Amino acid sequence: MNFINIAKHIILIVTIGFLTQCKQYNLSKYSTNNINIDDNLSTKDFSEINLKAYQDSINNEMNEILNWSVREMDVGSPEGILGNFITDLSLFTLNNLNRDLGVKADFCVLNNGGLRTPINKGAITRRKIFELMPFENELVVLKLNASQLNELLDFIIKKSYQNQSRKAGVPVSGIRLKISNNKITRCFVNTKELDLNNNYYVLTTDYLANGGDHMDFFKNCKEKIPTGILLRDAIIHYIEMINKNNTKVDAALDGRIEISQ
Amino acid sequence: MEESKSHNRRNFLKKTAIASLAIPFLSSFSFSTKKKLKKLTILHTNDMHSHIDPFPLNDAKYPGLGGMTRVASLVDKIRTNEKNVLLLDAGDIFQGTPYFNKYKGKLELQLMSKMGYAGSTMGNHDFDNGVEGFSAVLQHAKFPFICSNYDFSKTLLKEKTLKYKVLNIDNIKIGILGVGIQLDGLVNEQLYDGVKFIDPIKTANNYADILKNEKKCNLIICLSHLGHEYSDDSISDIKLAQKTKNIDLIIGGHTHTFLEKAKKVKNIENKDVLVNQAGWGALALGRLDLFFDKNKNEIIKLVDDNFHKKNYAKI
Ligand SMILES: [Zn+2]
Repeated sequence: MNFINIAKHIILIVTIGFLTQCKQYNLSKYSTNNINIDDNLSTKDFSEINLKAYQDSINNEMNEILNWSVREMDVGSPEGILGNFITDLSLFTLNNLNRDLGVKADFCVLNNGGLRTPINKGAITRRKIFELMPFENELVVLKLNASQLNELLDFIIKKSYQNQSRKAGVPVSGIRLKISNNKITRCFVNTKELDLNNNYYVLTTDYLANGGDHMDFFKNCKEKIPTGILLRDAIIHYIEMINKNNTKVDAALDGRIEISQ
Repeated sequence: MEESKSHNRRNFLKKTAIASLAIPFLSSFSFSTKKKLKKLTILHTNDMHSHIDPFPLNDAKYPGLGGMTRVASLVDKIRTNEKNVLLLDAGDIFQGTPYFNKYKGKLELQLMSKMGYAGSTMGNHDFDNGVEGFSAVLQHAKFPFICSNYDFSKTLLKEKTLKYKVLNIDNIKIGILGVGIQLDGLVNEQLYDGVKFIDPIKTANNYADILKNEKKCNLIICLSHLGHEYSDDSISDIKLAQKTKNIDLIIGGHTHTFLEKAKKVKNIENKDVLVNQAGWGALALGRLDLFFDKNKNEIIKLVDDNFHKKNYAKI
């Protein structure tokens, strides 16, 4: 029909007009500006799901003060006060506080990436330990053969030279290393010189035992002994325990990993 | 025929628009009122890490800041002012406060459902209680998880997540896909047993093509938990943007990157892709306002109007 043809023409003309217009103007635009969530904003109470009851329950439990720290403690590379503290207490927890498990470890290796926040000087709340170790990581013991041990040592060397991020360095306890020119010059396990003919038992977490944080060498360990102890529970128990003995939380750098020229 | 025509026209319009970019912000405001562009407000979060409440007042870095309860009131406020709001998340909802240790993620998902999230993708920490732990609380999410490059078919999550989602908001057809990070070395193996990781670039191209050409979407959004950018050649949001086509916007997470605003990146066809991320811990809300031409319902050209900078995330 004629009418349809006319209509088509009108559409065509409109379209051409429209396209011509497009050459001169921006047809669409966007704006982008991300917004900070600061304390000028009110909080929504979510009364329909009774959020307040959950908040009260969490706050009651988490605001409890477990002990006090003498100093601020944070991770570091090649050695950090926080890493020393946590690995020392982990090894102590297994070897001295849980003898009935019948499992002992020669040394302990954790990861700085897993220690999520520094411990401030002053009161340590239960919340702080949940922030420090939010994960449900379990302490496990692995039996290392010579090649796994070598890979672990190479990993420690590599990470010890890094110092750019919180993930640099490897927190250890029970082992002392002197590193020079990317090589280990001396290595002691407790007080004895490392002997690659020995099998060593290392305490770590199930996360790292499964190759987490690129510790692939742990994955191949034939013998893996779970302890049933969560790392977070070990930390909480230890700092509560020393508080009962009127001992404050403290740790120091002691040159357990040293890099020399 | 019809499709290729409109496609060509679209390309043409994009080119003219690029040319006109040389003229800085040519009367875009007066024009927009004349033309009645359709506005879509996209709000997004990532890596909220169970920060339901603001950070504690004694927090060294963010004392009293952030919190999902604050994001919720801000989203409510924006919803009263804007007709078309799309709220999305890019993963790592879980892990970071005792709420997660105690309630296993149930509360986070309930809050997000009440806030009206339209979708999320999974981050590595959303696997922290395993595929099993995630599927146990998934019923509390009234929004879909869009995971395009995790094959869950041999796990409990089989058919519980989506490969992509198509939404229609005010006649704007929006396609959403989601890409997650390689879990190997990041997550305890037992926690993602049976999950198959598929190449994010191939996957994104595949689903973006479906969303553009089969589903005829006007806007394609990729939720990503790959991370914003790395110094090595690991796959990141920036790389994903550069190596794909058909994606208009990447909403990212994982690297906890605070951006003042979305970055503009050229894709493999030299077209603009917006890449954004909103820090972490519910400390920021990503916001993009997209204006669509009423006649075609598609973004023809994105022009950064660059106004009110006052909310620049300094954190
Ligand atoms: Zn992540």
